[in-house]
Amino acid sequence: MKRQPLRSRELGGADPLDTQLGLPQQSLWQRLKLSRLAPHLQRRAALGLRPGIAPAVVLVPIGFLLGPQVTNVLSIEVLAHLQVGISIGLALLGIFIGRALAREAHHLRALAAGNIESAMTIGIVAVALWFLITRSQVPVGADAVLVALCLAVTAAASSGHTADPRSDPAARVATRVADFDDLLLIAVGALLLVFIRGSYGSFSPALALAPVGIGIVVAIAGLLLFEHSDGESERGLLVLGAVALLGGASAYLMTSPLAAGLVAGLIWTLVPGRADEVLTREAHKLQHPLIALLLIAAGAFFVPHATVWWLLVPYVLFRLVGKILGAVAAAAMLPGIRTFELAGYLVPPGVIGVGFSLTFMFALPSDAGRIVVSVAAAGALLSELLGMFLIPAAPHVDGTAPPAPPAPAGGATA
Amino acid sequence: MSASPRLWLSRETRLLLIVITLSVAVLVVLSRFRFPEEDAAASVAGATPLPLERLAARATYDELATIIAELGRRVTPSVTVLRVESADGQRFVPAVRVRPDLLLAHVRGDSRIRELIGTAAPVDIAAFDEQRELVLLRVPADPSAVVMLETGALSAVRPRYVASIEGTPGGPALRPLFLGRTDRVPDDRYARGLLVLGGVLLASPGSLIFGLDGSFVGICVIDDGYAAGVTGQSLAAAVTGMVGPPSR
Amino acid sequence: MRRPIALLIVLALAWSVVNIDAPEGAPLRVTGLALGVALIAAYLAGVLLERLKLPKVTGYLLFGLVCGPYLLNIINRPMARELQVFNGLAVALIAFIAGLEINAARLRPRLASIAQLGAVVLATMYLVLFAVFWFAWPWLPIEPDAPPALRAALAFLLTSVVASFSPTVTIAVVAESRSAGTYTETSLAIVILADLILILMFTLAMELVRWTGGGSAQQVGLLAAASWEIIGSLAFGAIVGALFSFYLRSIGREVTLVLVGVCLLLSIAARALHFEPVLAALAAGLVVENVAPPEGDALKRAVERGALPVLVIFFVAAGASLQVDALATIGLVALAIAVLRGVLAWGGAHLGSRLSGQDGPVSSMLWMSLISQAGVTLGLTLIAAQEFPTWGVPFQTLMVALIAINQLIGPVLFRNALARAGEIGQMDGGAARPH
Repeated sequence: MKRQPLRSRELGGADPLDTQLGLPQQSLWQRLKLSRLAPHLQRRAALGLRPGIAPAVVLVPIGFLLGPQVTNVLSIEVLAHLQVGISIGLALLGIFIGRALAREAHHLRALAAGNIESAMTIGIVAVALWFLITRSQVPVGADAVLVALCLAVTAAASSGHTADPRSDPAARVATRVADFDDLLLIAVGALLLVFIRGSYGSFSPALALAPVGIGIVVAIAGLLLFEHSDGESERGLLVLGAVALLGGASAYLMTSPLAAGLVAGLIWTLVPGRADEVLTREAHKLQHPLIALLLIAAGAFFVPHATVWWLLVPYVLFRLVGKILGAVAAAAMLPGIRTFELAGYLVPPGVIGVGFSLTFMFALPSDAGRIVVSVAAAGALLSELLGMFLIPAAPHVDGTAPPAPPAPAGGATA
Repeated sequence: MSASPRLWLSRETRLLLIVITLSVAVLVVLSRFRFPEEDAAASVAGATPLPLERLAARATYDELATIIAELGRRVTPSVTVLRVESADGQRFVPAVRVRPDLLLAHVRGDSRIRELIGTAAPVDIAAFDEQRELVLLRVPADPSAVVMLETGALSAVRPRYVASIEGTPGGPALRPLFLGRTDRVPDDRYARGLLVLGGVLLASPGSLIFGLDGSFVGICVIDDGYAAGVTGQSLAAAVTGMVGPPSR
Repeated sequence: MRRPIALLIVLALAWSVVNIDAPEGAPLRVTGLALGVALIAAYLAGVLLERLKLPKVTGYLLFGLVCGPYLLNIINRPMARELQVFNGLAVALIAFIAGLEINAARLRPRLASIAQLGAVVLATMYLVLFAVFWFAWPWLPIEPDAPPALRAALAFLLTSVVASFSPTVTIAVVAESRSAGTYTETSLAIVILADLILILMFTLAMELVRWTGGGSAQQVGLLAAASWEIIGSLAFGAIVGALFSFYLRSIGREVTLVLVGVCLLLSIAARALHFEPVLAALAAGLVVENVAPPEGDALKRAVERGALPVLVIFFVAAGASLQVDALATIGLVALAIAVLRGVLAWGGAHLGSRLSGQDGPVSSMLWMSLISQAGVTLGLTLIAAQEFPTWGVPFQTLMVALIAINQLIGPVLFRNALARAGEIGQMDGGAARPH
C-alpha cells in the first residue's frame, strides 16, 4: 500500500474537498498573468533554497490583524469562546502524533534521537530564558522557572513540513526525528500543566494521569463505534465527537489535549481493525480548519509588549542553538543524514509549539499566558521564515517536478 | 466549469458579475431608506455588537461568581492592600505591582500609609506624584507578580462586566462591576484622559479595575463627583515619569 | 450491543469529568465536552430511537430535553448555553444546503401553483386565528382589558407569531433524512414563502401595536425596514454566494475553510447588518447552485455529508433549551392554541391543494410540514416582549409553551410525512438527476 508521508501529521496534503472538486486547471497567478514570477522562485530552489510558505507565516499575522490589538474582530470575549476549537485542534494533532509513533516506533534509533534532540532543546532554551528573566528582572507575570519551561516546551517542537520526504531520503529521516521529538515534549508539557495548576490553586496529583484516562476511555468508545459505522456522514460525526470529547474533557480538567489525543491515537493504531483507517480519513477533513484556527488564535492573542520583544530574539536564537546541538547528537545515531541537513530540517517549528503555548495560556495567570503565547507565535513565525532558507533543496528522485499532494483518503496505511 | 483562458468572459462569470452588481445596487438603494439620516455603515457599527461578538454567549449571574473566583486566583498575587490613615479615618487601599519591586496605588495627598497588609515589608515610599495622587512603594522584588499595565484591551463603547478589586483588612476583595458605558473625557493630568466609569459612583476611589480575562483596565479615581478610571497606558507613563523607565 | 455500551461509556466519561476535582473556572471550559457528548451520545440515542420506528431527529431533541438542565442536568445550563453558540452557524449552513437543493429551472413550472397554495394556507391561518384571538381575547393571559384598537393590534401580533413556521427545522429534517421529491420541494417552498410573509406581517403588527398603544412609531419606515430585511437579505446572500462561486472557479483551494468562513459571514455579519440569516444563506446557496454551479455534485454532497454534526447539535441545543416549565404554567392555553393551529394548517393545506390543483402527498400531508416552530418564532417573541414589557412577559410565556409543544411534535410529523411520501433518502439517489 502507498505510504503517506509523516508530515501529513500537521497538514495532511490538500484539503479533501479541494481534491473532490478538482482544482482549477489554471492557477490564479496564471489568470492574472503573473506566472512569470514562477521562474524566480525556481531559481531560488536551484541555488539550494527551497521556497515554501508555511501556514504560520500567513495565518499568525492574519490573526494579529483580526485580534484585539488591531481590528478587534476577534475580541477577547470571542477568543475565550474559541478555546473549544483550540482544544479540539490540539487533540487532533495529538491523535496524528500518536498514529505516527505507533507506525514508526520500530525505528528505535530515530525514536531515541528525536527525544535526545528535543530534551537538549528544552534544556538549552529553558536555562537560557530562565537566566535572562531572572537576571534582567523583566516582568513575566508568573514564576520565571514556569515561564521559561513553558517557552522551552513550545520551542522544542519541530516539523519537517517544508521538506518533501517522498523525494529526499534525508528529509524522510529528519521528518521521522521531528515526529518522535514530540513525544518528550508532550509528556513534559502535560506534567507542566499539572505543576502550573498546583502553583495557582488546589489540585489532585491523580490528575497527572487524567489525559491517559481520557485517551483510553475515548479510544475504547471509538473502537466500538468507528468500525461499525454506516456511511460517511455517520463516520464523520462519530470521529468529530470523539475528537471533541478528547479535547473537551482535557480542557475541562485543564490537562493536555495533546497527551489525551496521543494516547487515543496510539490505541486506535495499535489495536487491530479499521478504526485507524476510518479515523484518518474523517479526521483529515477537520485538519485544515482546526490548524488555521490554532494559528489565527495565537496571532490574535499576540501582545506587542516590551517583554515579548525582549524574550523573542533569545527564544529564536537559543531554539536554533538547541536544534543544532540536538542535531549534532541525533545525527550521530542515524545513518543517512548529515548534521547540518538534520539541523536545517528541524528548524521549522510547525503548529504543535504554538498549540502548546495556547494550552499554557489558559492555565497560566493572564499576563504570563499572553507573554508565552506571544513569544511562541512570533518565534514560530520567525523560525518558519528561517526554515525557508535553511532547509536544503531536495533533489527529486526522478529529476522531475515534485509529486502532487497525496490523496487524502485511505492512503494512510503503512 | 470552463477551463478556457477566456474564463473571465464566460457566461457563468458574466452572470455572477451581474448578480453582484445588481445586489450591490439594491443594497445601496435600500440602505438610503433603511438608514436615512446616517451613514449605513456607521449606524450598523454603532447599533450592534462587533461582528464575531455574537459568538460569545453571555454569562449568567451564577457563572459570574465562577468567573470572579477564577479571576481572583489569577490577579490577587499581584495585589497588596495598604492600610492608610487620613483626616477622615482609616482606609484600606489596594496597590498593584507594576515593577518587580514597586507597588502602585492611588492615595490622597493628606494620607499616611501605615502598613502593607499580609507582608512584613516596611512602608518605603519610592515616589509620590502629588498632582495625580499616585504613590509608588518599594517592596522586595517578585518579577512573577508584575501586572503589565499596557496590555489591557480597552473598549470605550461597549457595555461589559469588569471586576473591581478593593482593599479590606483581610486582603484584596473582588466584586463584579457593570460598566454601562465608558466615555473618555479629557484631563490635564493624563495625556490619554480619563474614562468615565458608568457615570455613577460604582467603585470606591483607589480600587483596581481588571477585565474578566485578567487584563488590567485601570485605577478608579473620583473626579468631580463621578467615578473615573485612569487607564493602564496612562499609569505606565506616570510611573515612568516618577521613577524612570524600567531597567533591563 | 456495541452502541449502547459506547453510549454508556461516553455518558460515564462526561459524568466522571464533571464530578472530578475540577479546577476553578472549569464551567467556563465546558463547550468542548458538551459538544463531544452531544454529538456522540445524542446521535446514538437517535439511532436507538430509530429502531423504535421514531425519527432520529426526535431522538436528538429528546436527548437534549432529557439530559438538559430541566431534567437530568447532564447537559447543564452553561453547556446548553454554549451549544446555542453553534446555532447561528447551524442555521446558516442548513439554509445554505436548502439553497443548494433548490433548482430554479426544475421548480419554475410549478411555481405559480405553489404560490397559490401558500397564499391560501396563510390566508386561512391568518384570518381564522385573528378572528379567534379577537373573540377569545378576554380569556387569553395577555392584557385582557386592552381597549379595542390595541386589542385588535395585539391579536394581529399574536396571529402573526402563532402562524409562523420554522424554515430551519423543516430544512434540517429534510437534510437529516436526505429527502428529495415533489412533497419535499413544495413543503420547503411554502415554509420559505411563509417566512417572507411573516417578516412583513410581524413588522406591520409591531407598528400597529406601537401606534395603538400610544407609543411613537419607529423612525425608520415600515416598508424600508421590511424591504431591508427581505430584499436586502437576499441581495447580501447573493453577493456572498457569487463571491464564493468566483472563489471556487478561480482559486478552489482550502474550500472547507472558506465554506466555514462563508457560513460565519452569513450568520454573524448578516445579523450585525440587520439581515435575516436564513434568507441570506438561502440566497447564497441558490446563486451557487443556479447561476454558476460547480462541476458535478461534489460540493453539494460534501456539504450535505458534513452537515450531520451541525444538525445533531442544532436539535440537541433546541431540546436542551426547551422551557418545559412554561408548559406547566400555561400549558392548557398553549395546547388549545397548538391544536387550533394544527387544525388550521390541515384545513388550509387541503383547501389550498384543491384550489391550486395539487394532489397526492402534497394534498394530504402538507399540513404535517407546517407544525414546527423554533428559533424565528422565539426571536420575534423576544423582540415583542422586550419592547412591551407590560404584557410582553405573559405573551412570551405563552409563545414559549406553544413552541415547546410544536417543537416536539412538528419534526416527528414532518419526518413521518416524508417517509409516507417515499422521499426519504432520495437526495442520494438524486445525484444522477439532470439539472
